[in-house]
Amino acid sequence: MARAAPGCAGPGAGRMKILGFVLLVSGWAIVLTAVALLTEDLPRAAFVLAGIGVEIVGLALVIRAHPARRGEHE
Amino acid sequence: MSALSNTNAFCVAFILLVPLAGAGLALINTGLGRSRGAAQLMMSSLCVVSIAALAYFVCGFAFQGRPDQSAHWLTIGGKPWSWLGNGHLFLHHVELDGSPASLAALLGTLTAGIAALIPLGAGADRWRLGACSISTALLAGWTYPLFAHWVWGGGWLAQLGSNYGLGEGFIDAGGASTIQVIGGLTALSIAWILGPRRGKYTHEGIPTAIPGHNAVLVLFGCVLALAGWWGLNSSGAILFNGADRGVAVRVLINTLLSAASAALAAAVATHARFGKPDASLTANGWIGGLAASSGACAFVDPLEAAFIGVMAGIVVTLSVEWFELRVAVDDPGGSIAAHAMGGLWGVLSVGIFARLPIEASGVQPTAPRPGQWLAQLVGIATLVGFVLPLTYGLNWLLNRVYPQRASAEGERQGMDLYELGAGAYPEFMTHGEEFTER
Repeated sequence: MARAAPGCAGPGAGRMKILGFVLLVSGWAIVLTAVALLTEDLPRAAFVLAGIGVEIVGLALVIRAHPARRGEHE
Repeated sequence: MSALSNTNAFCVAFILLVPLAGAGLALINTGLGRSRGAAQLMMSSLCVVSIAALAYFVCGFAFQGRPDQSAHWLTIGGKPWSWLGNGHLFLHHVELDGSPASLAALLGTLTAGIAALIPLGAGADRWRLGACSISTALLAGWTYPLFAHWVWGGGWLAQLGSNYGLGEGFIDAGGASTIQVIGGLTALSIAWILGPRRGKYTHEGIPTAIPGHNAVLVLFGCVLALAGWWGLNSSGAILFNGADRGVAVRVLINTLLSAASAALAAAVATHARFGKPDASLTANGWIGGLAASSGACAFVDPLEAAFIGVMAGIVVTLSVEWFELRVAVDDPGGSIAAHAMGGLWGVLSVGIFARLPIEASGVQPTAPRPGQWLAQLVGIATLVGFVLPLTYGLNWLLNRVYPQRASAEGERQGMDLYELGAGAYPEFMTHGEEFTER
């Protein structure tokens, strides 16, 4: 049986979660900026994809910051 | 004089089917949960639908707005970005006469409830009734209408075509993003905030199986959900994408084919993986196929709809396993995989397959519009990069002032007895040993 990936349960989890959400919003900001400021198709598409890449990194951090609560047994 | 044209009359008939989607989701969530929380989950479903309808009536429709109504604007780079509807609270000044605006209000009152039902599956067996009620008010009164304005109310996502030449702008015929992904991402937030059910993971982090208590409810719920999705997709295509009522036949066929393909793909995938087809994962696949169909149902051929369904079934099956085994997200109803992942695939499928716009004669272009895929990607980036932090933040704040998770005693006792004082099946009291140390 597979195990859940070990998460960050220590005091760094809160900071990791905040950083993850900051990256999520930053990636979205990159996407919006690309749409608003760039006019040529290729650079605009590249920056939109780059913004989504930043979002994926942020999502990975948020996931790592939410470990299973191992001590939920009686 | 009534504004109810023939097309709008068809639309009313389709909207009448939408509550069946809610009934289906409620049965699926309940069947996949524990028997000792069944009554509380059905009670929560009824409360959630009621609160969502009221919240949407109070302020939701005002925030969502309509493309032909005034809105709050920002000017960025010389282009107008409509970000919030500027309607009146309590449906004031909305003529309830069968006009498109009145039908949008009717549909939204129901679909806000559908979106709010989705997180119940992820929070099953540990989410307090009061907490899910307040969370629903936040979802139906703010998060859902805000994004629905961007997509269906003439907001900046819908304007990506006219402002920046990205295809026809962000397109979502039946609510793959506005209903399914919004609900699915809220479900993910709730699962994170609540944490897994007691006994779900051992001290070593190994997940244990807590099977749903009634597969019959789950599979019957799937059938009801199909009828509801027919209503969602058809009325959405007519109201928000200007489709003629004749397009409804294509929508009905595509919706069925997508769900059927997804369910079969999930059954085959689970058979290949575990040696036997899994009923709950097949049901999740069916719902994932429905969620995916909502994006492009009006703009693709049946063969493409079936392919969208097959991909949805595979994505949902893999996602359920990934969430449970790899990232320790306990989602008893499979809501995150079916609705968020299925819906995201549905949104993306518009950019890959949809041929827009449909002419008045019903004739479709032969190829997708250039830039449509980029508009859909911008929508996906908005869902993940804005809606997820928003809905997580709102529920995190709520959890700080009103703890959302039931106490340990409540979970041990069962949510039925703990919150309602009576069980769903008083003559059948058999409890498993999930709480023993492993």
